[in-house]
Amino acid sequence: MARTLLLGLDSMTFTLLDDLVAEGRLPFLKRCLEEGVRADLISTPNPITPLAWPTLMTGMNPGSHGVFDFMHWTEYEHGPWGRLVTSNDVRCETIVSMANRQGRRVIQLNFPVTFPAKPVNGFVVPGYILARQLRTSVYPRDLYPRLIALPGFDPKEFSWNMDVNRKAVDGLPAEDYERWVGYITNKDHHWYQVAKMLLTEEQWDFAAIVFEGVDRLQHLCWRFLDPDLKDTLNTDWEKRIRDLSIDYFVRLDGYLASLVEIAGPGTRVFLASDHGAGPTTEIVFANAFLAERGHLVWKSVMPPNPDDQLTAPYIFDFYKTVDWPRTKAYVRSSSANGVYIRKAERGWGGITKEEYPSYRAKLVEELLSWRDPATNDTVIKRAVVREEAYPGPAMEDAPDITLYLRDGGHPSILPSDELVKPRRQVSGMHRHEGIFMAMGPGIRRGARLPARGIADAAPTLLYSLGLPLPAGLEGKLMEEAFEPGVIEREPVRVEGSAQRAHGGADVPADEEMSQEDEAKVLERLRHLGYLD
Amino acid sequence: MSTETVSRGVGRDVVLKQVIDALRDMTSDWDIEFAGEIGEDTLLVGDLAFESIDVVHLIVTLGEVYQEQDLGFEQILIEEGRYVTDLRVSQLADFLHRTLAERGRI
Repeated sequence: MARTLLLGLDSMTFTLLDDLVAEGRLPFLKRCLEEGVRADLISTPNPITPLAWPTLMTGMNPGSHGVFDFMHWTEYEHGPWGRLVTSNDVRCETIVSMANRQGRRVIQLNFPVTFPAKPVNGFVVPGYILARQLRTSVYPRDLYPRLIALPGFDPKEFSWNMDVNRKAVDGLPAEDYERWVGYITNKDHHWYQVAKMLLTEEQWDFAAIVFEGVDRLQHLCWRFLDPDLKDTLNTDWEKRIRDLSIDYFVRLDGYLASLVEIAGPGTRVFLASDHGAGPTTEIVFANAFLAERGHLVWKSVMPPNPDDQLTAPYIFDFYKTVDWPRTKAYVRSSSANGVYIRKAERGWGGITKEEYPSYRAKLVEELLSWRDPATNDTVIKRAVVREEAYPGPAMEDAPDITLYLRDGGHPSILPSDELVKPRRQVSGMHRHEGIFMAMGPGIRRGARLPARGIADAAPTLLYSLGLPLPAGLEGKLMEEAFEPGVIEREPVRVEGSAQRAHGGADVPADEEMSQEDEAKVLERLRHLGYLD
Repeated sequence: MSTETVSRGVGRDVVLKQVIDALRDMTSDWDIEFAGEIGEDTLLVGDLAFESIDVVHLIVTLGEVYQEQDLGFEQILIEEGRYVTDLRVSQLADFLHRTLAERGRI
């Protein structure tokens, strides 16, 4: 076993990382590549943060952990109702909880879907928390005075800001870019300061931090960073924004180097992203397509959107424009990246259980045969049904059909006269290919591994910590990341049975399941058809 | 914040106090104009400047107080398919008292 540090880089891609390393900008990450292993880490079918980070931290796919969007949705007669997802929505135990349960002291910083923080022997600062909620969200509460005592600490810069994050996707006026990149840079500096303090001042066995600036920056500034586009930058302003964006990565490289140095040479270091990134050049109006084919009916159409945004500013206002009793299928949100079918068994119209298989199959065919009139190319490359994309006990909450758009983007939910429109400029969007890197004691040096699934990170981290792997874990240990002989000297141990992996929320320290609880879990799994 | 939980026979006044305690704890350092004491007539949006994400925070906090992860708050947060524009503390207390009673918690 070894002390283990996980450095999460939200949306980091080797496309960019390799380019910046080749330019000599990222000395620490260059060292990681030389002294450790690397692999593409393939994200969840819908490669977005609230699905992918829980998969990475539980070793279970969304069909098991149950998070499919930034919002937790419930379908009603008058349309969907949703609230932001919380850690209570994650149905599987995280490796932080497993480590804590087995006596390891843990530090977890800025992970999505970790509010409310579960009590641990250690420290948790959840991600996606507003500044004014920070004091009551950190664990333990007496961590908060230590945060605000840090030199230059600004809770508003440190915490989540919905408006600012929205700008990353929807775009900014040119004159605001410089300030915005500075905001993102400062934000991750604050998280670095917090990590540095805790790693330095506290005893710990497992520490994990997510730097989210990579994702925000790439959404807005991909056209300045893309290795294929950098030679097309002509104006001084474009070059200035590229320099500032690269400066963010240079600083991040320094933060990572510093944290690894603090962790010390006996620590195994893992770097991972929840998904990758790449360009998106068009907007695909999927609900408009469904309306054109009669699956969705507008009650009233929202005013034309001059900004060609993906999302409605207020999604519930958007839902008021849909004639729900007459709507059979719709894209619920851009981030959900899939089509939901309204089910008649709930008693308010929609598709009956008997109609469902043929209706869905026909809809898949229609989606796959949708062609862009400008090029005659198909717009949707893959349309995957939920049994294939998200098998597991939580599958009922998944989109009925998950979409893979041809340019890697997400569909717009808004009405539009044109079904596909070119973007005014290239933006960054997610890709399935994220990164995995590791270095330290027992890790192979300079090896390039075959691509692995994002669920495989969790068992690899557990093994590094010297902990047993839950029997039902869907992710598989990356044995090839370790030097020959390591696995033989420290054999893999398996604990318990599948219900631990499938059986619900994080388990507080020293609180093993009673026989009664185990029986309840088994009953629940049986009810879900998971055991029989 | 009050760590008192509920038990059978507990009245609405106890639930109301727990809601007020939770709100006091949440908002004690917020930069808002509201200067009075939080009470039954206090409005979440109109007085405490709640945003939608603050409602999620409150729902989670109250869920932890009552050790119930899903108290069905959408029943008072949406009317005819639309989010309500504001909510009084008394409405929260009434809803919680009724829901906890229906679930046999009080």
